[in-house]
Amino acid sequence: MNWFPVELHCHTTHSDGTFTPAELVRQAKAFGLAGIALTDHNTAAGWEETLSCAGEQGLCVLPGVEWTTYYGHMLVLRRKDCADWMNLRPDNIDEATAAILADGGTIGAAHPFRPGNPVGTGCCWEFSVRRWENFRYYEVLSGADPTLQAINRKALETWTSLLDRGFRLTPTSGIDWHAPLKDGTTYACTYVGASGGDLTAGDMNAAVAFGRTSLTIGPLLTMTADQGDRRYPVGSVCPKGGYTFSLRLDPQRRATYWNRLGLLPGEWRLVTSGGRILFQSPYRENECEISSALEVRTSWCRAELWGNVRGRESLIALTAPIYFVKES
Amino acid sequence: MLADRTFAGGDTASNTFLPFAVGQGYQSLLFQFSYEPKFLEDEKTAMELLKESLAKYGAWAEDRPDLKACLPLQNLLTLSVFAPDGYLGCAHRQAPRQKHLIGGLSASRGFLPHPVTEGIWKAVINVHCVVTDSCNCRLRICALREGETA
Repeated sequence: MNWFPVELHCHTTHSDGTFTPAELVRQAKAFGLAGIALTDHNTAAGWEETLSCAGEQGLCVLPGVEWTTYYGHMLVLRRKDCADWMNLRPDNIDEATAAILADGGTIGAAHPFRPGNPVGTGCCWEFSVRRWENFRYYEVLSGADPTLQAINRKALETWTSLLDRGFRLTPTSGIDWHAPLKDGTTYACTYVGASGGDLTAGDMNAAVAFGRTSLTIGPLLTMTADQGDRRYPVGSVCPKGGYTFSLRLDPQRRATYWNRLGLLPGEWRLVTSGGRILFQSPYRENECEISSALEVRTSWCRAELWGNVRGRESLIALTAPIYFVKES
Repeated sequence: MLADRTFAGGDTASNTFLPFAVGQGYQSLLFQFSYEPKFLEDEKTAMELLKESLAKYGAWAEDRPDLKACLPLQNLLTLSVFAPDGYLGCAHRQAPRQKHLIGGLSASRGFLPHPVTEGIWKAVINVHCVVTDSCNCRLRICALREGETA
């Protein structure tokens, strides 16, 4: 599995971003990204221009739209038609997402606990979702200094409870990129896993749809579960049983963007249902891998790296889960 | 077409559809969209609304946000456009005075280009948020032939 850094929540002057499509592409390349998802508010008007600019610059673009409704913001990838955004209500979200899914769209919930009106118009997730299976991803880290914000801690808790209810939602991060990034600020990066050497839009979409992501404000964290000669990456669905979990850290990837931000890794964690820590180990300087043999009786596990960010205890990175089911 | 509408807080989260007929022979449509006031100038009322928001949005409140940094609170209305055969997009941005042109070869940012086909088009005023006592909105739509300006 190869890991590619991407940003899945971007805006241009086709909505309220300050970047033209060409400028967004330049910013993304300058930030060391392999790809972006274009998610302007309620319009696909920027798709053609952004794809064209990105093609010239060697950046992968997954076109999408942020359905900026009155009751929450919903990210929809690969579906141009977004007219129904203005008709969405808390009580008809399930019908809408079923239609989008049937049409090939990949659906995510954006910054679910950001404040809504009048602070941030429609930003807070107020939909009464029963069919979370229509969604593929959940934005657990949003905005600047995301791991230091309570709105993201709440998003992480809620995502965890959805995992416990059996909904296999992929975790993502979103800068919600409207303007130039601020110096001295941490921003989460979503790494997407793909088997090829170059990233394609199809790879990005598949990674988001099938749980092959890892989020970080610093070094790349990955996890595998080994059983015999089989190695399972994140997103896999495996039989419950005994596994050797390996957590790995790559401190070199995109280091120039985060290594002066005061991040100090402190602890590796393997987390499971209810957010319980199944395994934890202090992080030793320059350590790049730890392993632990465990018997898994719960329905999912994910890896986390915790530490210190500017003097505060903070999450630094987390992976999507590996899922476990009873062997039939 | 010229439409004037007045919205109040109770109109938040609503859409006002304005169908208009377009005849033959036009090259572009010009939309002049504006609303006022944009800002809630009364700081006392704004702070009360923000304190209500602290109670409503608990996770945000946990971080003890600087409420004054949220000022001024503002109204947000956006314009969406449907051609006879479908949705062309939306100009989702904060500016309270906007001018948009849609034609077959090009369109203002936020809108897909579309020939000015004969038929019933729709402009939609999307009321995302009204924080002032009232908000007056004006929409003027002109169909232009080749070489014409508004």
